[in-house]
Amino acid sequence: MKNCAGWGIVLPMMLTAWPADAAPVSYAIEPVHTHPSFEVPHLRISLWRGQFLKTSGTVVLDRETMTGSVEVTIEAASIDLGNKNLNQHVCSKDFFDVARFPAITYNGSFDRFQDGVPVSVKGRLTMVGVTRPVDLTINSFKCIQHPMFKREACGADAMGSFKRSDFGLSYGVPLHGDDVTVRIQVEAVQD
Amino acid sequence: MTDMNRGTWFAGLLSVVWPLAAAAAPQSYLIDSGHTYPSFEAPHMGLSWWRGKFTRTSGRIVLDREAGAGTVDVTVEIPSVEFGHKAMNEVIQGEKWFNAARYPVATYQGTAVRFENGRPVAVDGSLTMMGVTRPLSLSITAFRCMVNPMLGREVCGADARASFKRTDFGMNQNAQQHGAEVRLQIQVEAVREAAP
Repeated sequence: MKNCAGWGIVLPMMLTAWPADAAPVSYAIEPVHTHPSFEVPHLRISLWRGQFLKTSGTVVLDRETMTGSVEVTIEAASIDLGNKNLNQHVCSKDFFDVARFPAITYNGSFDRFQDGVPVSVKGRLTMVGVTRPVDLTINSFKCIQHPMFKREACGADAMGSFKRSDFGLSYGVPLHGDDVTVRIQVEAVQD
Repeated sequence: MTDMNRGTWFAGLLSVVWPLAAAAAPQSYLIDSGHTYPSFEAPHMGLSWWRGKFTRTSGRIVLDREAGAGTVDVTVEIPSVEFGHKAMNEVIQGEKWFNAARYPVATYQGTAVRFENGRPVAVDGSLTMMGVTRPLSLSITAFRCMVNPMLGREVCGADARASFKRTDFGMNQNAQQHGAEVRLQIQVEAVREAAP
């Protein structure tokens, strides 16, 4: 099993010589195990957690040059807060207006690596037609030979935060608070 | 400020402060099921953390701020689990996982709420799942009360954290492949019940 962090620590000389790592490698986001999750305050007395269920995209990783990119498209209508009425409300014109803006997109590049794995992303998030910079910290990153797909698969957990009013998503601010924390579980399989 | 304005202001202040000031005896709060969700994170193949939540929870929390004590009594409906994946929601009900046909609920009995500087900061108690009871302490990372403008009654909200190994409860299926750790992040809101 190939572990990106393990290779970086145990076999640093071999890493640059390994043919598979000598060029950018493209990975397709695996939608079943990729769910951008988030936490938003409710009345500023509790944190409501939810996730988007339909995500697609591509991650490109060049281990030799320590660079890479992330391009993700999220289906806005796939939001799930665990409450049907609330799901319908956030899809409406009051909030995500999914009929007009069906997709949320994120485009970024890995800007820092540590021990051979990316640890942060600098990127731009677009929601309801508004684009703002949002950077992510990658808390975990691991690659294995996937037993089902028979190809390399990488998984990560990333975190970021922003104010939803920066995107014009101001419904319920300040009663419910403005801060959004995102926790994104992502898996991607080599093309 | 005129006398009328002053009187109105005082009555308004009293309506907010009075329920909070009557803290000299244990207060009972009924869990607001529409705003209480135990969320969880479980590892998937060591690659990522799968996040989900249970969407039907009920129960009661009793707080005695003066004594610095309290209890928590919560019931979570296992079939209400939401992984964001229909097939996974169904598989997890099965005999090798939650065995929901035999054990349709998980319960948490918090026997001691710990206070610091007048605020609850932890709960000691036990979690029962699949017929197995194990001690579990919750760390309360946020706690705040207010008068809910829609209900006109005191509502307290909190965020609590805990973690455990699912194998301690006998949920061993694929534990070696995926990992046994489960992290909980619990959103809870509860509405003050009228004194009997």
